[in-house]
Amino acid sequence: VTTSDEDDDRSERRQAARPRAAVTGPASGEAGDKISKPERLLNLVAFLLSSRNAVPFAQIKGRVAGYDDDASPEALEKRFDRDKAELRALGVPIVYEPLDEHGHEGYRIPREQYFLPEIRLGVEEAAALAVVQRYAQEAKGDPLARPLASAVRKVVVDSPLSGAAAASITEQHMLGVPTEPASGDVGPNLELLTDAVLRRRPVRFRYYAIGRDEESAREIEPYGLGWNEGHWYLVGRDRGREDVRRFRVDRIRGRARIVAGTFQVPEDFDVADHVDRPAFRLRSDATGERVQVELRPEVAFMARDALRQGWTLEDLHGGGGLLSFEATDRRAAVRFVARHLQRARIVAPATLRDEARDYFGAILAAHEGPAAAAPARPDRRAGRARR
Amino acid sequence: MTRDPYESLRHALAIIPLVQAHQGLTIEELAQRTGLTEQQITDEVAKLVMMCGVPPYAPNNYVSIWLEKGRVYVRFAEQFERPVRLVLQEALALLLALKPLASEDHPFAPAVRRLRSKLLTALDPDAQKALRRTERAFHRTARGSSAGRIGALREAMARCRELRIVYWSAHRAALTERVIRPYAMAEHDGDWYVIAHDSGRDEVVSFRVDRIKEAELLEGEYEIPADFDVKAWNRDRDFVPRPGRTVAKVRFTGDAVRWAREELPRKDVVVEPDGSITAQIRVGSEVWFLAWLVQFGPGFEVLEPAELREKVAQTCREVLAFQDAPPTAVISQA
Repeated sequence: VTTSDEDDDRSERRQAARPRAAVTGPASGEAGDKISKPERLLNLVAFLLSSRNAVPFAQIKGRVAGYDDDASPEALEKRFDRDKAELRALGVPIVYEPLDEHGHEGYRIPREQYFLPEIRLGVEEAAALAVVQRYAQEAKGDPLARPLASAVRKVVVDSPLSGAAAASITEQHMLGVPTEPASGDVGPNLELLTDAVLRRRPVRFRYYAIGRDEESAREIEPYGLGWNEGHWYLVGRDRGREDVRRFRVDRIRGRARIVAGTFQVPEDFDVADHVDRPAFRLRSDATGERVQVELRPEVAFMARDALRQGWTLEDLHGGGGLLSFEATDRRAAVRFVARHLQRARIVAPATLRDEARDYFGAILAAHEGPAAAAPARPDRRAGRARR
Repeated sequence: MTRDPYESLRHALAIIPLVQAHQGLTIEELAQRTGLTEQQITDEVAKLVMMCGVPPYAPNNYVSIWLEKGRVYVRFAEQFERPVRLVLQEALALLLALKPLASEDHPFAPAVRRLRSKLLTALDPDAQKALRRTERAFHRTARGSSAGRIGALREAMARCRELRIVYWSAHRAALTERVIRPYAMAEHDGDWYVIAHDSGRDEVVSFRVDRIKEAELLEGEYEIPADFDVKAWNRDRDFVPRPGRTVAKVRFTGDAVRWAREELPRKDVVVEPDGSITAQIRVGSEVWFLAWLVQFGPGFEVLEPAELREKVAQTCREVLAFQDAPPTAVISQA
């Protein structure tokens, strides 16, 4: 950026050869009279915003920079149609107004629809914005990082915080950046799935179901996406299985692609219900049963604060807690309780308590006495375990 | 990420009103506020802005943006009074990113809830409706629980006052009492952590907020050291026990093989002729490691070291002993 004044020569040069970046440096390689698309769009927005009344296309064509070259009238009209659509996607509303009583007709950008209404931000609200702005800069693996950065850039116009103050807040409060999973690059699939969810377009991909150790082709109506415990999940209706399923994005093999058509999302769908659902509630085909787990006093307080819908916690003598929840997958319920080692035990149902006992009994049996040497059976092919 | 062909245009439409509202902002300040680099602003955005004008393209029909003594000014840009409204994707991304800050485990929660409703009113009614629908299609886990303790933590951070906490240490598997100096809060996988100096250990460590059982504000004051950098706390290793010197050799068999292979770095895994795998795993905290291992059920076996193998057996005996102990009575509600 250099100093600029009324006597700069941009207009003359525009009339003459239309160089790019009149005072900021030499033209950057493109032909001198070619106006770039961002430049044309910006000029169109500037023109429509500064016009008090609706303007017909005849007043745009041949006048507004980017519409004043010697392209055919049809080509110019097509260009204008494309530009309107692209500007709308950027949030710039261009409306057509039919002839009014003052004799005006044509295109207009209604300011009340274009301008971001003033958002009076308190200091802490602005601080929160600063924290998410920092996140947007760092979370390259988040498919919404770019619209997030763009959103904050707009809203900060009303921020009472200086840049330095905002920077010091981001030194004290930081959002975690989703880490890339070790297995595979999920970035491109995540971007495609985000787009498919937003536009309600079905997708097709090959998916590795780790539980069954099998890879198969799926056609999914993608209802939503979520991030939980280090993984991205896609939730959608599996057309082949006629059921809503959850998929871990890093278990999609190869690239997902969008297929023709569209679909409806059930009114009451909420992706959080699926993404945050504990593993012992995932099976939808099994009937649930109530599980009771006793927690030792030292960990019961955490459960008390983190109860989910449908969970209860009763106080026990001695300070412990009796946690109760519904499970549809017994094995997963045992695993969930096992993680707490000697600080939790299954109390009911009795059959599940026995399963937990067998579970730890088997681990104990494998660890009693010294370890056996690794078995060598060279007659079997190396590879994935078979059941 | 694929390139956005309208990037410079978006930037220009946001920067012009910002400079107009704050003429003479330093370029550094403008960069900080917009999250762009100074170079992006001078090279890419300003170049585009300088080419923007309206017919008849006389000199004063062009937008002028210039830098004088490190400060940025704009002129002839009155038509760009405000930034463009948020589009659906932007509003969605913003509300989603704010979610962890609305968790009860973070002191900004009440402010973020206010911000959320302000942002919603800045959308037109159709966009509001579309957003409510789309918002339920995207999710980022944000747990929160300790509303009762957050007040003391907030005070401590705002006034740089020491805090006494009773904390469940997963690493030591015990409730411990500490005096801490909170430096920062960091979110990781849906949980909030306080990164604080622990007086007992004379070390900066992270504490998961939901594991703080009690918190009490103390009189002692402190300063955050100048060389403290929260950015350094942004990786898994900072929130799980750091790998120690012990290297465990573990065999996984049957179904456990698939899950273990997915989680372990390939270079640490050897596939045995029978299809089982043997992995060398660096152990941070023993408790933490055991809790992770037992999820594999009978499909794992610790081969080495012998002490860790015995620790697994001992833990199983304790679990089974608790399992077989007499029932504990529920305190009946009055």
